[in-house]
Amino acid sequence: MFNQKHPKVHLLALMYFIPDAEKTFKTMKIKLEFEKESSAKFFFQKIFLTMQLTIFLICFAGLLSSMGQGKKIAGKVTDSSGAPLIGVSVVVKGTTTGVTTDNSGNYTIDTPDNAVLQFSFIGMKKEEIAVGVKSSINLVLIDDVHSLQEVVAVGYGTQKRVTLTGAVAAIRSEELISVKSDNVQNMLSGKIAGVKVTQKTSEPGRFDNDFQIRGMGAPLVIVDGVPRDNFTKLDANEVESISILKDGSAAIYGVRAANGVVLITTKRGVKGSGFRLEYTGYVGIQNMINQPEPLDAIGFMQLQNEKAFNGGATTPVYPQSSFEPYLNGTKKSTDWEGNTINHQALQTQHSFSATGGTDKLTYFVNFGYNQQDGYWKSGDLNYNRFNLRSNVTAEIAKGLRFEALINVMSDTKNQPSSWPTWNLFKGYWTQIPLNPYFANDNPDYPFFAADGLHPDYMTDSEKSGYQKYNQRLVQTNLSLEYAIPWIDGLKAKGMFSYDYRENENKLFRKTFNLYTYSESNQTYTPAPVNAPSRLDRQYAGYITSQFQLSLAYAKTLNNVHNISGLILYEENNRLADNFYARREFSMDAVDQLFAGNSTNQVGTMSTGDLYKITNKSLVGRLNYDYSSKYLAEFSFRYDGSSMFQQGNQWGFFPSASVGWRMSEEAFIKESDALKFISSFKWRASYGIMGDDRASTYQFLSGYNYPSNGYVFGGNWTNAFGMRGMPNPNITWFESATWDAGADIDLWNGKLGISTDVFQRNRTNLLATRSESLPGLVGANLPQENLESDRTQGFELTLTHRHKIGNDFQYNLSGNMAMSRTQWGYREIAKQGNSYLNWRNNTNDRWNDIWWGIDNTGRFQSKEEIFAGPIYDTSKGNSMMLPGDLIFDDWNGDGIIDGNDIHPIGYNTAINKANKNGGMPMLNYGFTIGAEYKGFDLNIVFSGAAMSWLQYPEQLEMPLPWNRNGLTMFLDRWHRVDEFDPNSAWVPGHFPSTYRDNGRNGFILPGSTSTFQKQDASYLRLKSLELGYNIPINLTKVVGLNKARIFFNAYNLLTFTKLTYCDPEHTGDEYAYTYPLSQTFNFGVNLTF
Amino acid sequence: MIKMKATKILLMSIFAISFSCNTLDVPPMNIVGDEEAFSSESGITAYMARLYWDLPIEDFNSNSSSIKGSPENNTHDLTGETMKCDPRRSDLGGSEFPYWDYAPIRNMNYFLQEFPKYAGNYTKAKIDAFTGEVYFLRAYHYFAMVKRYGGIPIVKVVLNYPEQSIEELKAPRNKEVDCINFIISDLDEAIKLLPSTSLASGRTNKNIAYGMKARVALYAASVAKYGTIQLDGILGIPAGQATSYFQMAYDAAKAVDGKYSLYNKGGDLANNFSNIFLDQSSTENMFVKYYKFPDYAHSWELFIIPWQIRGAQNYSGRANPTLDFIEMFDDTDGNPFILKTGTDAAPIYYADRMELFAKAEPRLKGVVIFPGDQYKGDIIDVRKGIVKAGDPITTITSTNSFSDKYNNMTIQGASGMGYNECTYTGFYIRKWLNPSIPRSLVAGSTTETPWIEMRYAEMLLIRAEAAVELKSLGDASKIDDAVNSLKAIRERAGAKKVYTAADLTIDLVRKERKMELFFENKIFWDMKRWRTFDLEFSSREIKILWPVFVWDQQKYYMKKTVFSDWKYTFQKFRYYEQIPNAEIQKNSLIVQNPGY
Repeated sequence: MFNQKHPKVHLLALMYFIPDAEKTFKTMKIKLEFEKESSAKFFFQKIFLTMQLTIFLICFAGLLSSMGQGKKIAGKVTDSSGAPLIGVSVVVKGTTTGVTTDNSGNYTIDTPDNAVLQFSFIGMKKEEIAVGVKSSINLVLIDDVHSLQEVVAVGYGTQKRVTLTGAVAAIRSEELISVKSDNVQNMLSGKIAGVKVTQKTSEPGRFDNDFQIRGMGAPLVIVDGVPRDNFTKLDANEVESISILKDGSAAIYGVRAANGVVLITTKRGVKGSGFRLEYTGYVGIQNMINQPEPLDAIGFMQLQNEKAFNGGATTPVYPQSSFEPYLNGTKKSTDWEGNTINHQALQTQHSFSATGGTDKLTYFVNFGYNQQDGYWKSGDLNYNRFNLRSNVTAEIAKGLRFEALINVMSDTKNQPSSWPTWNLFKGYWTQIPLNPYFANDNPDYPFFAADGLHPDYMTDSEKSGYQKYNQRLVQTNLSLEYAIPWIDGLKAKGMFSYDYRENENKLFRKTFNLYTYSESNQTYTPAPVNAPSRLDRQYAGYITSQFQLSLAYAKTLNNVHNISGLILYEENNRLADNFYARREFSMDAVDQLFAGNSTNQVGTMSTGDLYKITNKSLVGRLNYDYSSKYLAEFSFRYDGSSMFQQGNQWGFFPSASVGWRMSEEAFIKESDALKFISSFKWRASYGIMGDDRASTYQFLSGYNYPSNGYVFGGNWTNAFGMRGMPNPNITWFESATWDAGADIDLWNGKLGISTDVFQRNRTNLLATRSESLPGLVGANLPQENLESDRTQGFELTLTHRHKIGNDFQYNLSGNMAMSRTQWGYREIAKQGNSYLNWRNNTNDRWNDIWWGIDNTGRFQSKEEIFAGPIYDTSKGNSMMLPGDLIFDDWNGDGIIDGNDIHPIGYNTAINKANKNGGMPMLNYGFTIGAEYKGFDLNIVFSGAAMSWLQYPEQLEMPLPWNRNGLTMFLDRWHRVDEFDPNSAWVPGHFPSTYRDNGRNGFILPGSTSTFQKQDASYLRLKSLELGYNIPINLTKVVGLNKARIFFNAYNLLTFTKLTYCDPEHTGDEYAYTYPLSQTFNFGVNLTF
Repeated sequence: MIKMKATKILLMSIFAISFSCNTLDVPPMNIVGDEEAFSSESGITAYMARLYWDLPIEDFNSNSSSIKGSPENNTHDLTGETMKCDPRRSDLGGSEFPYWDYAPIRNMNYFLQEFPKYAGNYTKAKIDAFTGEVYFLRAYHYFAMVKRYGGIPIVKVVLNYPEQSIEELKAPRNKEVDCINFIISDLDEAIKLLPSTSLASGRTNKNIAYGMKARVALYAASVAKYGTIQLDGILGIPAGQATSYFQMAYDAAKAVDGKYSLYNKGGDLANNFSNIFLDQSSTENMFVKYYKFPDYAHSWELFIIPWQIRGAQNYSGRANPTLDFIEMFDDTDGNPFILKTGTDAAPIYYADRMELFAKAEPRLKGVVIFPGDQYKGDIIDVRKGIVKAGDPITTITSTNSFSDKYNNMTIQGASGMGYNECTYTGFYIRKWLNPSIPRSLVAGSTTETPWIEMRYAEMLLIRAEAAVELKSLGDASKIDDAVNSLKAIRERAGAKKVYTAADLTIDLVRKERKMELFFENKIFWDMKRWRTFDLEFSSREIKILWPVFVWDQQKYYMKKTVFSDWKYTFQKFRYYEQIPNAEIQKNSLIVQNPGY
């Protein structure tokens, strides 16, 4: 049963850099085979592997190094912009020998053998460099994170944090990669106030996150200046920084920026920094967490009997005699899960980067590999990704800078069978444990499991086919920047980018037989599943090209007036095209399209992925500050979108912000009492943004073609879809964002406070007036720009950095953010009565009100039930039982029905079909970082509060469709003696097992109560990383400038009131979504 | 120096050159306009395909919540013809099959308004055919709404907003009789314009329009005779007009004489009857809705087939014939088919369950799978449970598990009863099931068996009903035609008893209609227009049959019983459905039907 494909995928990748990889691989295979039961051994195997890898890399590096004698070292120290740093302290480690850099940033120092040089400068990160064989060391010191001098990326440029006037949060590479995940979004969780990340699943290659800024919806993501959608598939090691534009500062992105903007900047080489090779890699083990388990045979029969008795039956469905064989061990409950699912799986990530620079040329090249296995024992569920990035900048002539950024990504998600992954969980949760895994227990005849969902087949590509999702993308940016010589401070820049992405999928559905066995005539009857075999090929290509021309100007006048400005023209084209084909197979040995039959073949395409969209924009920005004390910024974007009709295509999106650095005023600066204030800045901003994404050419009348069809003359004939009435005036909705905040730094970083209050008012939201147009018109009105809403909230970030002695330094940071949305004007038809109006009229009301009935307790006895309000008007309360929920007769009419529904809480709109909560209202997080000698520790907590959810189907009720249920439902009201319908009741969490959906005791149809509404608040130890830097004088003998080993744990601890499930687990996919993982990773970080 | 700069500027301008001539006026790629739609026959065909797609044909997919859903809640679930496998329902309401949709009507009106502008592109014959087709479809559509709601607003032109204000767009309901006359005038127009053969199979023609006219007139006549006038005529048709509508129905049904004939290919009568619904060459077919996999197919096989031969998706027996339906027939001797089961005290034992059904009328055999019947080479094993040795016959051991056994015999049969995807009534449906579909293709949305919306047998039944009704209203001239029409139907059905002009009553005609048009989603509307629903459904319990294995005898005992969880009652006011409240909110001129 065990399949060797599982470790193979990892090992193939490792083979390239493990000596004797082939041999190791074979040994591993053998070991893994006999260790399949032992996850602990499995785990240490991985550590062993990582150690092997580390040792190899160190040896490899050793070849590059040799020993040296005492000598003279010279060099130059610059900042990241290339400007020389004056007065940098250069000290031979462990000695008092030291010099400082001169006015050109140059230094010369005598060093003994095996010396290590320490470079330090205020506001910059300390660096240690082993001298080794080098005779000169040029170094770039990088701004210390959180330093006031830190430069952060903003729309179309960068700004010093100290003079920022917008609500912009930024995170640097080092902070990002302390969390280990395949998805960069997860690495941001809990770190930035207002960035809400919900990881819904850890399914390999799925990347199903809900990522929002301030609860405003999906943001626009800009990678290296271009809107790109590969956020989740970046290699974290290639990211230099991520900036989050939360307020009006996003307005510079105009018509697509209403939900905020994420700016991702990838790494570049640094001028004059020499050559540096870096490797980071880890291997980890994933553990399935917080996943419910199905009942065994005993539990199943108990609940079935109860259900029957509760429904009025007088004899048990399963008499005592049915229990006996399971109790005495002659029969075993079928474990539908255990045969196919591991609770552990592997993952690995490796990145190699080379970076460096001369005076004229800088480069950053990164190669990343990510591999993640799924929990299927077959190993057929997995994901792998290759990232390659090359960022090169060259000064090709004086003042003329050329930059080429090239990114290549290729990934594959493999998945067995033709079912979506969640079906496996549905499959094994619902299969009845009395049914055999194999018909007549004969392994040649898999049993005809309900819905054909036999886990053995669903998890094995060999048996049931596969799904292969490939994505390949190439992204290029080419730019030229020219410092115009006759005007000081003026730069012209042109940029062109061309991105190509292709999604290419192959879905092979293979027929297989499941069997029933008839004892009377001893025959196996096959039931063919997924017949006929069939292959789908899907292809979609996306091209995005963007073009920018800009002029930027920056100048300081009289040493106090700092002026900078930007004017930019941009054009963006997005094209998509696709097709897919399907054939059925008579013989499925060749899984290629040409081997299929022409009968029933399909060759068509999806209209959703066929488009051409053009945007044109003129962007401008003006910054002014007076002595870095009084700050002001104005920006605008004049944006045109092809999603609208002529005359409505263009919009103007301005924004303005101001700041006041109070700490620069004399009354603070010169006051001894206030000297603890290192920096104190007030800021306020206002901006207008748009969003054209919701629009679907509603200014056009006519016909969508094709849209449905009919069979004429034996042939399917495509039909028109009438578009109905057009709205020539349709346009984007607009969002106006206010933000006011303060950034405070006290005692030189010992306490940092940053806080914001904000409000986003959206107007012109699309809505249909059809509610008020008589139905006899026969056409829905098109959407119009009618409605409005308002999102508001606040954010608070506290930071603390401290250093004790020479060796111990630590930092703490905590943040919280709350946001909530309220409808403004909403279209609503006249309601029949005042109750309906109260329920349905959402004008000026919070958009997250949860309607339902209060559950005030449990009925303890039949007497109580009959004394209570009426639950079922046709039968009275005769079907109800002790343990059933007491609902509050809210309107006091003696009847529990839809009229008792009232607000019982809040969360984003719930609907019956998809009972999941929305985003939590409040998110918070805190991080702890500490360094002591060579050790470093980084801890990230992430939490959510005021979050509620409700699950459907199996997580709501036991035994749906008369099949199996989950063990959580054993915690229910039941009789002491399950065979005696008159014995006493034992209380439990759930009411006694239901008879059918019609019984009110468990669930009131069409509604929810406070019982189903569950508190999904949580606090999670999202990530813990402990690292150790091997002392440099040890590593340098093998040529390593840095060697760090680390242990990392992800989703280590979760504190939540939610019982039986994970608080981030969603109600999507009927709550059968692939679960979340806890991972333990071991890795190394080596710099040569 | 200047040259240097010039080079740089030149380089910079490389970008500027690629400054494309992109325009923001980029049309989407899948939208066409009126010009493309109306000026070629292929455009017209696509337009027609939309009108047919929207046609509210109550086919396999029609159910209580949607005209295009899954088949388990077809109208026959409410008439006593069938019972769902998972019977959870309270009283019969009046709003089970809501359908209030003017969007297709707008599309038809738009066609009638715009098409003449492009008429120059077509021959007279084509212009007539297209126009006639749209009149037919509009009539079909209006009738679907009138039979539910009574009088509704008649909209003959394209309404536009904001050209007309919302107040101007509001309209009150027309009288039911005016709606009927409007529908009939559309059908007359269609009859005048349509060719006698369809442009393609699946599309309408002159004869189908006649058939539709017969249907509509029969409805109007019945409502005139049995209904009452309410809301000043918005509901109901003046009683005085019954005769003329019956006459109209009779004439229209007779107009298709000679164009179609009853399907009768000889051989086994039961098989012949079941083949009516499978043989595509049937001469009885008038208006047929076809399906095509993979574009649009239905799931009848998946949902209806007996459990033991179900497809991989594990659905089965979602709707099953009731014992009430079975016992409506006569046996092959012409006697009432009352199943001889004995009593609990003195049961009759059968070694083979099929002995009980040996004398079933061939037509019944053609549409029902009995317990123990042969189907697709299997014995369809329906068993409620076992009476154990020594137990009284009333104590039946049953289970919902297929693995529970008594003395090595499974307690329930391989096709139930007890498990919730199995029959509750003891029977399975055979009608429309196609035994040549392999088990591997018993799956959702794959079945292509066409839906026969109108067949010639219905025309004969309309003639018989109209003739008998006319006799009761004083015109006996057509009663012989009624006798002959029923005779043709009953001979083909294998029914023994022959009716004469003297003993032919309206009840017999109606019973014949129920037996013949079973599962065809017609009976529900018949019981409404006859105003008999409330009589048949007053605290009614659905009758079912339990085949029980008696261990002592090693034989079966068949117990007649009822599904006791629900008693069904139909309240009179529900003859007209509730107009959707949302519609009344939007159009205050609409009055709600009484009782809601």
